[in-house]
Amino acid sequence: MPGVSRQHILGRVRDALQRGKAAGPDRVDHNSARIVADGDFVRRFTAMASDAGMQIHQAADASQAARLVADLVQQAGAHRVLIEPGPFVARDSIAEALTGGDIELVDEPSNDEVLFSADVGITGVHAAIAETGSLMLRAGPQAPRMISLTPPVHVALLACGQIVGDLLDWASSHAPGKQPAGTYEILITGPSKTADIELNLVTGVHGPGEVHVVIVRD
Amino acid sequence: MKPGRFGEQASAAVQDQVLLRALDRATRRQHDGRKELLAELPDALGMRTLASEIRERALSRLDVLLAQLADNIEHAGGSVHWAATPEQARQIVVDIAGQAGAKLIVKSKSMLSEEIELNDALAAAGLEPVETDLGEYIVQLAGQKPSHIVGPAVHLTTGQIARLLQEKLGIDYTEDPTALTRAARAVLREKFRAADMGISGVNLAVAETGALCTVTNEGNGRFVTSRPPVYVAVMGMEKVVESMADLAVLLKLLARSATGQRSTVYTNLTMGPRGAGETDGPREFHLVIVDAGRSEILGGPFWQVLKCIRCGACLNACPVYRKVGGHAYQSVYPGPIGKLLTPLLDSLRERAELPHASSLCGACFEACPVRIDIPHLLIRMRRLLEDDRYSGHLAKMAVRMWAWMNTSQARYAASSWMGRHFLDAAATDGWCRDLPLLAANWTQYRDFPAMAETPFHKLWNQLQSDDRSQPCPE
Amino acid sequence: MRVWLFTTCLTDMFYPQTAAAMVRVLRRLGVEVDYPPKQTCCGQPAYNNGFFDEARKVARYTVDVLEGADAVVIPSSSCCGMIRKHYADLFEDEPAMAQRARALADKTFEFVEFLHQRLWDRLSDWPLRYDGTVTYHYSCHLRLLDMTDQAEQVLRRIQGLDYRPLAKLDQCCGFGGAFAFRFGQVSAALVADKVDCIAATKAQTVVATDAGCAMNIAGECNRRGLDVRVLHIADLLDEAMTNGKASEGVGT
Repeated sequence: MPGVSRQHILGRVRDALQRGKAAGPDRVDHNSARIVADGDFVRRFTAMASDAGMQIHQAADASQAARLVADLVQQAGAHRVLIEPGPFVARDSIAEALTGGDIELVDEPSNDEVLFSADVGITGVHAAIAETGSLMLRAGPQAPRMISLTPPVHVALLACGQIVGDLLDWASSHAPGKQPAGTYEILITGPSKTADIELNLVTGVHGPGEVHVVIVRD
Repeated sequence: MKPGRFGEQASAAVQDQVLLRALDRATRRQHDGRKELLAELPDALGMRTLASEIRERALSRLDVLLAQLADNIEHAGGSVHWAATPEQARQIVVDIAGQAGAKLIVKSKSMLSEEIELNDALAAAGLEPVETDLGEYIVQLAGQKPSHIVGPAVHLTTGQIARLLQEKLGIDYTEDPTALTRAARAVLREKFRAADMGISGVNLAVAETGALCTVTNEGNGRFVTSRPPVYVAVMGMEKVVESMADLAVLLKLLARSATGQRSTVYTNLTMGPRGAGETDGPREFHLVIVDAGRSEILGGPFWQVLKCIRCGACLNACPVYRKVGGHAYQSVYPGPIGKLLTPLLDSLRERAELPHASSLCGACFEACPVRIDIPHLLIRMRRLLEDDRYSGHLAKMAVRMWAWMNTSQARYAASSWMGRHFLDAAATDGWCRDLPLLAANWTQYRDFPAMAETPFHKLWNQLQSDDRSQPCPE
Repeated sequence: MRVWLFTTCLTDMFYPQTAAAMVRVLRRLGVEVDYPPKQTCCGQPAYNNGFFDEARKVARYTVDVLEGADAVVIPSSSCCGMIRKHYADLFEDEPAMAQRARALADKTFEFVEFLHQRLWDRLSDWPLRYDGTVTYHYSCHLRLLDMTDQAEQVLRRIQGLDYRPLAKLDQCCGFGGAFAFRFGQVSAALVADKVDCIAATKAQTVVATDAGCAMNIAGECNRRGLDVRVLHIADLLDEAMTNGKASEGVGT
């Protein structure tokens, strides 16, 4: 078995700390790093998320959200749409609005072909962060990771109350003792992009090139 | 002074006009972006100081945190491996691949994997590692090394990339960046679909929750960490912080410092393999914790370099890096932090040129989100080298003489008198165009002024006797 | 207000007129200026290159020379930075000397810093005039002193001065002391870049706050035949004060 034991490495670290001068404070006060404490989280989120290249839509209630999503799907010229199985805001209305007609609505991709050929992926979110304009998604049995990744268009549904102010608030949702976060979590702040080719901005590199967020007020 | 490896490479680099233009654009864009975004923060200096404290605290408790991290990962169903050397780290990863029957491997950006030369080991074992970060992929196709921590292909023009993809992927020649990106995307998508194993680095690990955080803009990191059945994260042992709040503070600074964004597009947290009932995610999750010289550094005077979160801000700020680019350093870690890390991880004596290749301008320290005092540490490293007579006995004698001359006004005055006459002999119209020995390195490119006829220490007496507002006679 | 002048070895030898200008400027602003004649060098060249024993000898000498002052004013951010920040490093193992160095550091100022902190009102009362186009290079060691745009603030106070901000204002000019000799080609590329930016402003005058930067930039300008005055800010202020008073009709 290659490598060494945990004891070996930790022993080396302990020896180093004993003979060296590495030192740090007894405690740190994170609050000085807080950027957003209060205010209109929806407005801030909208501004930051737009700045990051996401398209933000407002819906008064679930049925308006469903109409919005149906329009987006149509604008995308979509034939195959993935929708996250799990409960999320306006899901039922959206599923209803998209059922029937030309669109194939899939909530459990049966194979790669379906997964990689879908045109739009519709998900809920676990939370959103106003400070950076980020969506927070957690993987789970009802929330596969790929739905917000493989299709070129991602539509995320977000309820107003899901928006927290600051990254520090996101962090505290992970505090030991709180409900376990599961296996995988992602913060999404914009469409996939790169500037690796001589600083030219190109979107939709590996992840979706278009991200829509529908904020449902009700 | 004979130019060693860096000197020669640097001299060649500054004459490469194409490279210079590319570097100038890239570094300035990122540097200006950084300044703009930091100005948005209510207290950028305060936040950087906090970030520095967070990293210092973590390093001072590194054994405790690594143990906690490992416990949490194992509890969640992951496996933790420990490597003292690069060789061990390579072998661990190759073995994991072997046991899983993995052949095709997709990788997202990891400087550590470059450092330990992982791709070579994988290839030697008959495996196929594919870099999926667009810049890394391009550089890999070109058979080159990355030249910048954040933008690996920053040294290549669109034309060069177009020719490369035409040749390697068989696409039509196009200089449209979108078309080029789409071509690469299509190829890499197939790799993601078929990959047996994913390997990533770790930006930061959180001990308290056993979370590994990786950040990307493209989305390749998401595929690498979620799609293949086996996911391996390789991590330098210093990349741990205690809490999620610590992580949040560093994330606030990371994207701002690196590329002038409020946040990278994707911030992944992996806490374990696929959970019960989940339909995607890796079945096997491994973390390889690598020492490779870091515990040595931790116990020495340069332990502060371990605070580094590899944001690349110092590269963008550095006047030397802006002129020579990453390859001149001939190291995985270029730029200001590289001038310290490379001698420390490699050999101080053999890399002694690097800590000298700095004008000590301090732009790096100003840019560093965790406030590593790079100029101070460079001077300390230079001191170590001189304690070992790096510059030779003649230089030592010359400096001793200099100190002697400057510890008495009479000797100082005499030496300045001699200097003036020496320069006068070489000067025309107050300027020297051709000085000998070391000074030729100056006059080869620009003029050197002659000294003033009367130095101030002689002028003072005249000034005293003048009316306060009369111009000083020359 | 009484200050002692520490000219720095480069200014003493290459730009004595700058030190004289500084004296005039300070005296006009009501400051009593004295010059401790035993001064030599702050020790930075040895320190920067890792020769700590030698640097220490010179630093010890300089502390002896300067510590009797009420305040020390220096026309160089790098030498001021040496005394303010690095002497403590040099005397890390000698508590008594470290204490003396700290006491000196507390009363040592860079020239623009001193103007800005102690003489701003008096400077504001003085008519300043300089007719011409001027650009400005930010010397790297101003960072060490946490100084930002104080010099530019001075320039903006001057009537008739057409200020042209420099692109890549705070990018190192490439001097760096021994760096210019060890890595000649990189240093040359940097000073070429700096002078390209200066030329692009079409300014007739470039202002610096460090003799090393001035020598470097002036040397490049001269080699190119670029007709630009390279001035220390003290030189410019001296002229601006003289012109200001003259245009007021007050005899000097």
